[in-house]
Amino acid sequence: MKFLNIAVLFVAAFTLSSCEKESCYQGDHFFIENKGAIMPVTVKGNLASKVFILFVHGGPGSNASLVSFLPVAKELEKEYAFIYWDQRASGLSQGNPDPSTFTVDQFVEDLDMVIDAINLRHNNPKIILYGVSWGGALGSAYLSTGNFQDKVGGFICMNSGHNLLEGIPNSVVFVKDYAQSQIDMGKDVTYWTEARDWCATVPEMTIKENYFKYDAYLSNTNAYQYDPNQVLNGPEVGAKGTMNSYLSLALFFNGKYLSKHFNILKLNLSPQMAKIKIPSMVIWGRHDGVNTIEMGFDAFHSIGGPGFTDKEMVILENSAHLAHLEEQELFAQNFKRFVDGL
Amino acid sequence: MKTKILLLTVLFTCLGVFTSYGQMGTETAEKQGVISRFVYNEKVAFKLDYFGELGMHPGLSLGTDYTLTKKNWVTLHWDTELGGFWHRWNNSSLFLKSSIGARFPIQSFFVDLNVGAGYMHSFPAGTIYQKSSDGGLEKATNWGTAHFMPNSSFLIGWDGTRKRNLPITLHLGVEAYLQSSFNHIFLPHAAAKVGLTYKFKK
Repeated sequence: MKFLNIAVLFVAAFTLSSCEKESCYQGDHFFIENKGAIMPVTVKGNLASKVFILFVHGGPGSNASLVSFLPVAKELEKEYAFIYWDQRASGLSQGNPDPSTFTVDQFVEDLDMVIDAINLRHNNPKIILYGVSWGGALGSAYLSTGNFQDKVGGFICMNSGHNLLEGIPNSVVFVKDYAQSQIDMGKDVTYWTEARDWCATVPEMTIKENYFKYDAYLSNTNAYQYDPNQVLNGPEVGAKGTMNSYLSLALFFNGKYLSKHFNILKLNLSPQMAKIKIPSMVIWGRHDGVNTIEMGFDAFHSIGGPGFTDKEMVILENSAHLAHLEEQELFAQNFKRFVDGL
Repeated sequence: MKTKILLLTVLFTCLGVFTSYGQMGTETAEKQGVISRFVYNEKVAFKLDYFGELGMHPGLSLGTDYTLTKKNWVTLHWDTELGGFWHRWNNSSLFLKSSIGARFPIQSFFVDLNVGAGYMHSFPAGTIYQKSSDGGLEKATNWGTAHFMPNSSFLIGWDGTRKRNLPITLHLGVEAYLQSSFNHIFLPHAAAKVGLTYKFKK
């Protein structure tokens, strides 16, 4: 019996010693349940500022939870509260939403619930939407729907995929030009010749199979990171931190089903973005090969329509799609200047 | 389909418990109570484990280990466990699972390979909001979500029955399990297991 007692004490001690890294859990946390999805929302940073930045992640199928561990996010959290929401079937989201809910309208409805919950829990703070890539598109869709923009104080639209109908063909040209540059340098000539010649046929990019083929080529270019040799400051959370926080393996597995079943290849929000009449900053990496700079200008001109002046465009000259990591300081400076001016 | 899988899993698990009970010796059956017969059955050991989801998220499991057959080189056992864990700001889960294992002795130590299935019920760890009938928001009741839980584990341990005649084994290892359906995938999980089995003797 003595052995049993010792063993039970051992197990109990092990259990009690498994406490969490407290710094991960500072802030607020709750879930939004809607149409089969249970989506986590985490609020971190300077809640006392009463300025809440709602980060709308990309993808579709990426996540916000890991972004909260980026040094640039931690830097900005000193000034503002950051809301990290994992969208349906993405990141740390739970549930089992039906694929029929994978629509822009549904994501807009989810986003509106997040904003309502923040207003409820934090007594109507100033909310700024900050959307990157697909998140920029979702933010644009939200702000141009009904009176939703009345709930938001400003919009930061970064490297947005708001108009893929026109944007992806631009990206195909980017791949073609990149392929030619590689051929000229004698690098992997067979592969890049095949890529260049395929792009030259101007494939119909609303066809999924074509999109996946283009995407495979794209991932081998510098579309995401202008200087492939630059060391980026990624999320500051290692294996131990992942095990000892609210993160889980879902980060690596969620989103794959969504990205295959949510077709946004015909998305074109440019015309409806004229309805957005709140202060906006369009920020873009000059060398973004995913959503090229032409789409940055398209976003800038589309927001608010002709005559709307409460907007600005910032181009990060040495960046591509990951501009917030590639030119972190410049990005943060512009971010703060815009938000503080609201 | 999902309901059928969950029902089969529960049946499989219950069968494990009833088999443990049903195969007990009968000579003293009339003199002993049901619980007593179960507890002191020489083929039955009780299990207690720390169940650390991703290693660090604390949980416990309790259960039985029923010896199906024992040879010099292997012991086949049928385990049934009830447990749960708490992953703060993520989920709290309860599970009932059953597994078949093969324990290979190496002197006083052993290697134990198990494979099984179970039922898991996970609850989001936090306040949940849903749309209210008037279009606003309201707090939702946290009913949790049902999941199928296939699992396998690899354990190493020390067997006190082999040389010291102690009714105890200690083990540690990892358990891999899947959570389905979860956003239309089988979500992989890993857990650390540290625990013991104990055989009660009269």
